[in-house]
Amino acid sequence: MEYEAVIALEIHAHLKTARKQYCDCPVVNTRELADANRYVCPVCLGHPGVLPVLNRESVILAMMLGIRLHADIARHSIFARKHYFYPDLPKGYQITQYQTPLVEGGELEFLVDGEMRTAQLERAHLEEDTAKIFYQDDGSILLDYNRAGVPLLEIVTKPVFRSAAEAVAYAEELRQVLRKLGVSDANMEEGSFRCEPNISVRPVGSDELRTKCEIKNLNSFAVIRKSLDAEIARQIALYEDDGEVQHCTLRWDEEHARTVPMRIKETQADYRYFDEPDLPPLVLTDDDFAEARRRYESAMFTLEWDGKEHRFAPGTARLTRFFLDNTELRESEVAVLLEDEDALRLLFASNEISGAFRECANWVLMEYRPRRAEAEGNITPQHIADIVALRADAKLNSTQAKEVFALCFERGISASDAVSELGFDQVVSESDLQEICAQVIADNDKIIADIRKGKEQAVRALLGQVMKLTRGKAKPDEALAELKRQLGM
Amino acid sequence: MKELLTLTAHELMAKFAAGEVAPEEFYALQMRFARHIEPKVRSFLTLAEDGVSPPDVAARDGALWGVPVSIKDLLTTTDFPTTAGSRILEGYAPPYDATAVKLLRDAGNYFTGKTNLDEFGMGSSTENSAYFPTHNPWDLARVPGGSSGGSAASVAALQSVVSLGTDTGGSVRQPAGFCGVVGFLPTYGYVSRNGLIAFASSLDHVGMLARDVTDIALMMNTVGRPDKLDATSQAPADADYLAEMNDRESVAGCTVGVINQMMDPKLVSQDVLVACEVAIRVLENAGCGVKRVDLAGVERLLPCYYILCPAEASSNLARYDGIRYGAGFPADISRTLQQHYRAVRSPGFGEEVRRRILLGTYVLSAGYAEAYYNQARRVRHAITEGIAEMFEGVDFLLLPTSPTTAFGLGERIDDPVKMYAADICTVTANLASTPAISLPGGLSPDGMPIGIQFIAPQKHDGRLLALARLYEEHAGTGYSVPPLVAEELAGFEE
Repeated sequence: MEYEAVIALEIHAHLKTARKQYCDCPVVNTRELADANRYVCPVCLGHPGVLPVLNRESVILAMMLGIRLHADIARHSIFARKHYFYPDLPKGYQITQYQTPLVEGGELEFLVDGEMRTAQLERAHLEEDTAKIFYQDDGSILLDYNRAGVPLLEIVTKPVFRSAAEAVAYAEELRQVLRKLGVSDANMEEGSFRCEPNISVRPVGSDELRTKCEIKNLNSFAVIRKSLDAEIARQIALYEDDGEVQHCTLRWDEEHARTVPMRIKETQADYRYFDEPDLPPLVLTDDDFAEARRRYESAMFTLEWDGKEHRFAPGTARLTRFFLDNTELRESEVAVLLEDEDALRLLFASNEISGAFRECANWVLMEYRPRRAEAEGNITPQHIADIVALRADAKLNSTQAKEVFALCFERGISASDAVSELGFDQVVSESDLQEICAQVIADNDKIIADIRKGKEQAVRALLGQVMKLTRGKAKPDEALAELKRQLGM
Repeated sequence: MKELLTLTAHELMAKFAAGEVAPEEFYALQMRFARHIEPKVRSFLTLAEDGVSPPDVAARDGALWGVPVSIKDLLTTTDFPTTAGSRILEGYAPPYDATAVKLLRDAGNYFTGKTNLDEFGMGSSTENSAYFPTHNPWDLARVPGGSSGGSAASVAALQSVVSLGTDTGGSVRQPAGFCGVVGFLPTYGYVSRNGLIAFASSLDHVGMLARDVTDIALMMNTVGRPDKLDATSQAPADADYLAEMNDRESVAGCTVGVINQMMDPKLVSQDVLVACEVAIRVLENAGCGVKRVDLAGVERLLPCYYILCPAEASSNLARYDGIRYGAGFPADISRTLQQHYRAVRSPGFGEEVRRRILLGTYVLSAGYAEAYYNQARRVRHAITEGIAEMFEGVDFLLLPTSPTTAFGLGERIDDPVKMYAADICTVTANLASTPAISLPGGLSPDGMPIGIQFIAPQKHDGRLLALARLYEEHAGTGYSVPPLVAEELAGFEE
């Protein structure tokens, strides 16, 4: 039988706020044990008598994502307590949103192999992160509450993905959207973007939803893809063997390249949700909507193209499609440029002046980006347009052009000043050329002998030396003619 | 000088102002007498040591400057351990002051210590304290009420001029009634809950106890302020409760509703009924109209309250896991997590607290929440609406504070349902988030105080104090020194 996967993604993203979700502690992503528990207070440690106060900035950030996803943003939503006992949960409950999420529905376009797809979302709601647990070699367990209370947005899709590749492409797109919106750093290694897929499989053509399994603790897109593929295969094999899939939480075992159960969920965990009495309902005002809309719009990407202004919602799918349709850029180059907004803006601004898109792209990709990795530099769109023009007019050869670029990058002087400072604008006089050619002929008895023996191509080696001595300023055809004249060829 | 101990706060401040006694001098006297009588009454879990830092003199304008205040041990204090009356917080040193405590401190108040209570506020007799019971200053064989029993006893027994308590289902008013002092429950959100160790968050109020209504107004002027640290805070920023209390116009010719169901002889003892009828005549003599009204669903009050409050308690008490503070800290890592929780929580909580955690967990569990917790929330909503509707026809409600006078120590401790029944008259105000006040309404034939309770609509706190002051003036049944305390005072050598 043929099977297809049914995958939904639950993504937890840290919201990029200065303060924690329910207290005034700064949000600082510390890694070292030595920095543990520096950014804590009675509230995020769950001391007796403390009360949560909602961080409104997290609300605005969540609304910005809601606008981006064309989702419903609830004017009135409530917080709930979700209960369970674990040492990383200071209060014995997490303050989250249950029945009324702030953001409901919505969709996100993403590209798979250059093809546009749309993922439907279930909801996105505000909650708080837990403490970090450090398991020590001596068996002790240390807790770091710096992360406890950091604002989280939980973003849940409907079960819409049919392959690991689709799920990963959506997650990558969502990450980009969050970053471009400035809503989250969305860094997987640092744990500010955590992805928990749940998967079931079913015969192709069926629309049933079978028992699903969740995979947790996946820390890279590669691991998500591998684990999903392995889990899909595992479930298919189970059904093929007339077995049953048991509802469970899995983790990825990298060594054996397989998913393994963390714990079997025989019954639904009972979180005993009830409305958080310490927080009044979250009521959004027109001002909140205006602020979220204004900040969303300032995060949009604006591009001059063919003298027209194009605006793109924060994200990459639409932009990528636009580049592939309108420019000669390859998909891999687009991906690089979309990660590097400076380079992208430089390219488009240069192109607006020069019109030679591909050439501008080459300079930005091959020369600008590697140099900018080392230093800020002083390159302007005008530099790139000028250098492209100089090359097109054969005023510079490619080596010279690179030297000019390097000088412009370093000092910010104009391309023409760089050309003259490097002396690439001086012409070699006829008498100089005669003298240099004579000298090269005098210094290269061996090559001359080869030529005399009939190996006429060897004259090219002499030309190379003439070019070197004139630092490239001689015109190669003139120099070749002069060499041949002196050699009587 | 010891007769100064029987004064109210405003009388005392007049003495301070006239230079007849200095606050520090009075405080020293207050502490000596508090210690003197403490072995009899046992109001305090922690009594202030000698030489505690004097209040900030710069705060001389504070409404209650220099007045000694006792604080229920359910409110966090940085200078006293805070136990909530529980073993699980034995020796716990809070890293912050409750907002109400801080406001008193900033206003220049002395603290006499932390008063005894039923563990986490769960009880009506102070017998559920994990440490020891408190005795009623009117009869040491009886309970002072609860859960703010220590606070009420401390004010009645002249160990403190006023006291800060908390009230979730009657915990300020009922002990005030049992001990013959005034107990006030402000509108929900009028005093910050920051630093009130949560029992049932949607029902918890900070309240206060004093010897007269004026002192309550002065307390409210100090602690009844908005607070950014409490998202449910809704106190008006510039209210002057003393001025509102003195605004007789606001209560001239007002109508007081008497709830028939709370005057049912099957529910309320004869002594208490008589006192209520006397109170009604006092109000009529003072020019108020009195109207008999019906409260629908009285039989649902206690079930509703005793579902909601354990539910919230089971959640609020989940944090006591011995991992960050309190009993069991630091954790013994040779135990499994389950063993750790069991070792900390089972002995850490008393029987009543364990009972409510179990009840609360049950009523919130999947499959039961609809039948219990959600149903109780709907009932609460209906009660709130019913009360609001009543206030369309009357300005205030009158009812007893408790069905009986103080009962004997040990009398009800083994019968939780009977103990819960003591709350029937007080839970209404918490469920409806309204202000309420209990005033001394005279003594029963056996010499025990009886509390008369008034309820006002939400946010009518100032007007409620005006009515209470009117009643106080006309009733002539205000605070009197309990005989036993008077005897101790007579024998007290300054």
